[in-house]
Amino acid sequence: MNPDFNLQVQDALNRRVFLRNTTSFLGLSALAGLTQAKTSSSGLPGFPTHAAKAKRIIYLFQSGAPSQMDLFDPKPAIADRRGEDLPDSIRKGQRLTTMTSGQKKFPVAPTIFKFGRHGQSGMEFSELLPHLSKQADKLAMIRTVHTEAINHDPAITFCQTGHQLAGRPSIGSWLSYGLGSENRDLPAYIVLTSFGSGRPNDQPLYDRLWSSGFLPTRHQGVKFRNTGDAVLYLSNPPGVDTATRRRTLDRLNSLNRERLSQVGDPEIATRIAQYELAFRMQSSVPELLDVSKEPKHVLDSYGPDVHRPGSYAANCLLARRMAERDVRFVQLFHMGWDHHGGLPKAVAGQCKDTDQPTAALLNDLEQRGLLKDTLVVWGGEFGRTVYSQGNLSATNYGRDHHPRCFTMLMAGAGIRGGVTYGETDDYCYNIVRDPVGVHDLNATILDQLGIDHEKLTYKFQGRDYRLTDVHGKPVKGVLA
Amino acid sequence: MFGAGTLDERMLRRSIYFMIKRSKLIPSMQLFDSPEPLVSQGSRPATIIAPQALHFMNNGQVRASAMELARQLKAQPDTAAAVTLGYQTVLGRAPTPKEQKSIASFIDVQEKSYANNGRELALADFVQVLFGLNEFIYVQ
Repeated sequence: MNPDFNLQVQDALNRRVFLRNTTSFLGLSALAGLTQAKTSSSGLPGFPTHAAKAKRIIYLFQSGAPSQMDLFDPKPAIADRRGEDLPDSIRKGQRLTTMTSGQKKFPVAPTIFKFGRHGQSGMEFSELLPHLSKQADKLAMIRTVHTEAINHDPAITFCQTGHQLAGRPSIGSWLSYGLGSENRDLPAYIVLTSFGSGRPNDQPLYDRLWSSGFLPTRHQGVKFRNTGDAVLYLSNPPGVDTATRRRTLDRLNSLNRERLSQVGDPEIATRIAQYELAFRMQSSVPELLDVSKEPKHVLDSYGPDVHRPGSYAANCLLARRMAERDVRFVQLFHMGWDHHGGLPKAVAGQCKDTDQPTAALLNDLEQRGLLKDTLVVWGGEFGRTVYSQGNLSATNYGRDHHPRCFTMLMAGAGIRGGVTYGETDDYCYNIVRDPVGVHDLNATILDQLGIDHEKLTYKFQGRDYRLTDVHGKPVKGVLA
Repeated sequence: MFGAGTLDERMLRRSIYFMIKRSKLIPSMQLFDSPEPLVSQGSRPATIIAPQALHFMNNGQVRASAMELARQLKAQPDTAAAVTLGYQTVLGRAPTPKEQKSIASFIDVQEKSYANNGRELALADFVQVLFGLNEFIYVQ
């Protein structure tokens, strides 16, 4: 080998390694980068910080904001106050969105749906959720989640990243960064989206909601598309078969390995490993998506939509298959919960989309022994107002955005089933007892995965950032 | 610049001239750590992820570029000249004798595996091997 050439290469390499170690995030992550070269599954040293109850999480995000008082938080005390103006003593001058701030009256709209008590705990559910209510004893219901944001995009961004402005890492990326990946054939963070029937043209979802922000991009969520090829560029180019492709990769790897032996840059080893992962994904992803061998009774339990790829039901089934394959974080986004008008009909449609599949997912996970180490979360970005947006009639009303209180559900690993946590006032407007901020919720999720949320940090622009900013306390009341 | 704009994969401009719409980030740029467009970024991380490999293997634009170069290589008098021109064009250096030999046998095997147009397709596979080298991604 030409010694001059070797010297040149060493020089360039040293410069690059030097720059990497000094300008970016010192020490820890450079080390993480080196270990990454050996196996694609390593997380940070020292993580998990304590014994994890959950190995993985399935987060069922209900995008658009489901109405808490029509589904989970009944208010019999105002049932006979239909049409009365919302008292100032309750609203306390709270800011409203421009969609209702011009309204002359704020007529109270009690829900028209009946509630019942379910399970041994007597947890309350609306009649719109006949399947989920049967899972009452598996669920913890938090009625006092509150958020800072009042519009969809900042509110979802806040749930996902702990900040209303875009640019910070999403929760799944933080988990991938801290804990690494368990499955060598699939990404650690997978996102699935579906359109709701309640309001088909609802708010869009931007890919940055599962972005890795300033964390290295290998931690970003991989969205499986809900139409066409689930993963882009998974199929070989037309006319290239697997054997031809395999030979190309073998040749590529041998040349990359040759280079590695000359210059010793660990990045080359990583690149070889990633080409191998890509090749494995060409078979692992189709295998993951192929549900043809699922027994009929399992498919039936998720409801008829399970046969329509890209539906919430089909995505719930895929979530279970990903949990079986130890994908760290599966996040579903079901759109269509934004019911400013015509709420009764629209919310019923959304419940039809999601009620049976969500319940089936919980049962399916339990029957396979996966629920004990899988954390399941269900909820949206904020709640809805008790007063009607637009006209209130005996059978119809709409509800505006309401950040002050809303309900979320948790189940599975480490969660105490049958708990109803927190209390809101008679108008479902303010929190009376046990508030849970979004940072508290995220701290709880990290805690179940064995992460002290104050320790998972990343230095960026001169500051140590974390998912929970400077806030957050795990909600002990819902933990087993 | 509007409509499909920079999402059009036939764009041949250097990415520094792309207009970035915050709602329409360019998938292939995002694969390679393109900075979040809404905040300033002090340093750009260089990550190596499997979707990049999938992109280099199967993206239509990458394959089209490989085919385009393969057509030029095909006009060379023999395999050795084609391999040399390929290395010069993609990596800016001549192949070592070992690489020359290794690639020649690779092109030979690939060529026989295709029913039609084997020479051109085999040369395109060779170009894709070059695209997948760490050396191509990090210029000396």
